[in-house]
Amino acid sequence: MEKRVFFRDPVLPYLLVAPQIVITVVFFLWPSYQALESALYVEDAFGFSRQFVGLDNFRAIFADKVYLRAFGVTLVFGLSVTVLTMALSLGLAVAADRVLRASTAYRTFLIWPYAVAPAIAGVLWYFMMNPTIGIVAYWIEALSGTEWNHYVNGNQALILVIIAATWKQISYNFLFFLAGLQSIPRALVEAAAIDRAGPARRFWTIIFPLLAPTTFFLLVVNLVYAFFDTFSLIDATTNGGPANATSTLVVKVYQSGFVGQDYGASAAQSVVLMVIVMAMTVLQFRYIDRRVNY
Amino acid sequence: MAQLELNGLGKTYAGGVRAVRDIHAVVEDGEFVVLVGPSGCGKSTILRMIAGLETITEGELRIDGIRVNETEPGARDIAMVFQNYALYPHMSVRGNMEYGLRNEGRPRAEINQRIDEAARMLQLTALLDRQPRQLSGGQRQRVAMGRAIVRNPKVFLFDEPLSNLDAKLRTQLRAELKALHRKLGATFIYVTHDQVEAMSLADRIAILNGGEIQQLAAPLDIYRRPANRFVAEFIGNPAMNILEGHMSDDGWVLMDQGQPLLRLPSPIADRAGQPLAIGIRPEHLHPAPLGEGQQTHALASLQVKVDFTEHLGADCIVHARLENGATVALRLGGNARAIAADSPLSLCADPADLHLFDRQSGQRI
Ligand SMILES: Nc1ncnc2c1ncn2[C@@H]1O[C@H](COP(=O)(O)OP(=O)(O)O)[C@@H](O)[C@H]1O
Ligand SMILES: [Mg+2]
Repeated sequence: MEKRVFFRDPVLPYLLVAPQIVITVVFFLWPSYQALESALYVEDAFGFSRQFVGLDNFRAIFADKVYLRAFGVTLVFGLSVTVLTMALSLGLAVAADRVLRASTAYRTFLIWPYAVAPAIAGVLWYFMMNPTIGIVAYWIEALSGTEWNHYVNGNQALILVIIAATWKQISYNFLFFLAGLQSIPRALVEAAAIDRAGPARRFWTIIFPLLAPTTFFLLVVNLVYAFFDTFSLIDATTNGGPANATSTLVVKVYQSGFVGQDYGASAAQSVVLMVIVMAMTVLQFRYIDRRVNY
Repeated sequence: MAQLELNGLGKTYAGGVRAVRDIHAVVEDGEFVVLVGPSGCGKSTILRMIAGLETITEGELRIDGIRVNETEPGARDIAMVFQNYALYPHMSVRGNMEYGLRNEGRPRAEINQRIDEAARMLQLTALLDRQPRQLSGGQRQRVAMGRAIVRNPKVFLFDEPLSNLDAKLRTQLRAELKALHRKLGATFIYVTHDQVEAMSLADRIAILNGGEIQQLAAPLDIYRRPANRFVAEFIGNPAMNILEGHMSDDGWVLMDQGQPLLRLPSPIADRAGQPLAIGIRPEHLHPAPLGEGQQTHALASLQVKVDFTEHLGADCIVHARLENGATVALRLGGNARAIAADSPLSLCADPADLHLFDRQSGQRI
């Protein structure tokens, strides 16, 4: 379908897009350019001088074992958060879709976590899971007998940030899934029921395929969130530790740049992140958008 | 194929709306029953209770003598065609048609054979590999019917299946549906708000209003002997003329402004002095030449002034007004000449064509 709009005034369309372009230039293109530029220089610790080094910064970070490990951590973290978030929120949305016609209180309740600032979510989980004072840590020890100390145990720390990030993201996913579910005409599910499909079969053969556009959208959103948008949460919860067990790529950028004062390495890492984001965006537009269009 | 028994079926929705009450009906094997009534009268609710999509809150539903109130929709051996077709948008036409059969676990060969057969019957063979979005409204409706046919169910349910189509296509699909019913010999229950569909398709029509059956009878019986004023006014286009009147002590039916309308051959004794609603169909009013004034006791007569005339080709509808302001319509043949507005007209009717209703209860007398 052709959705093009024609303007009689040749200037008006440019005026209309101008604010968006200004925002993009100031907050995206300019910093990106700066990152790209800095990635090619080595700067001294006080920022007095810098020297052009070409791709040396990139060579250095890819030779750095800690950085390579951050790739693995990011992958585990990102995939776990994405899968957990989507499975849980889809389950919640399906349950809510059943009862929702009656009350909206339930919906409001489930949206709350999304309104919580990431750093506060981090601190919340920091306290709940704190080995000495945390209530959840206490329950875990009481129920399973395993000692909970994410300050020492790297796996536990990773689990903690995965849970915190998932908890934070569920409500957003829930909303989209719920909207997706509610937009599926009831008659389709009823037709399937008359066609002898049981509840599980109805879900997997009718509802889930029809949710595909929502699911793929959320898949990309969640991966982007987990890979790039969880810095403040991880920083507030575990600070990337212990022993870099929860250092994802974004955390590494911060650590190299602001803690390690190695701006060149930090900038090179940002450029790597940028490339990944662009790749994922291209993937979304090229491949996914086409495939889920029924 | 199957017989359906509705024993005092009723539905009260969770919100407290009592949408349907006290539905008694027996639908015979192979019968085509149409539920018709104004929007919101509970037609869909009844159909959905039969399908198992709504729980039955009162009464009992039996298919072939077996109570199915608690049976899942899929286990009732029914098929339903929805108003918006409800085709699975992510499956091809073939996928839509075989979905139910695959759920039943039929062997591949049988599935293919049934689909080929149904596709041939509905002229869908060339469309089997299309997606629903690539089909026109009429084709989608055919696919929805095909999806029902392949399952070879005991009962077919239709909820306003033609109401999203344009008039020409509707007429065509109506004929196809009638032919399909004859070919399949299955039990059809069909919901519509369109009286033409009801009259042309049904073996019997159930007229609903306010969640209750007003009359359940063959189309012509309903047209000729409407059970109450609602049915009388609902079926027929233009609607039946209703005049307010009452019964005199000596057996005359009088208009409310005193004009005597006719003398009943045999007065209904216990109705003396009571208010009446007098119904007469437009085609039963005939113009009597003015001046021939000698009104016989055998004919009812009315003095009216013409408002306007509608020439519809085969018909000519004259709208006129009584002295007391009530309007009437009369149907004349297509060759009738136009009658000038404001010209006086004397109308007569055969008393046998009058329908008398109790004005309070609306029931036929
Ligand atoms: N799910 C529902 N919950 C509450 N009331 C309903 C529901 N569905 C229908 N109703 C009410 O029941 C009445 C009959 O509805 P329906 O059977 O859909 O009428 P029709 O199909 O004849 O237009 C209406 O008053 C409608 O508002
Ligand atoms: Mg309806």
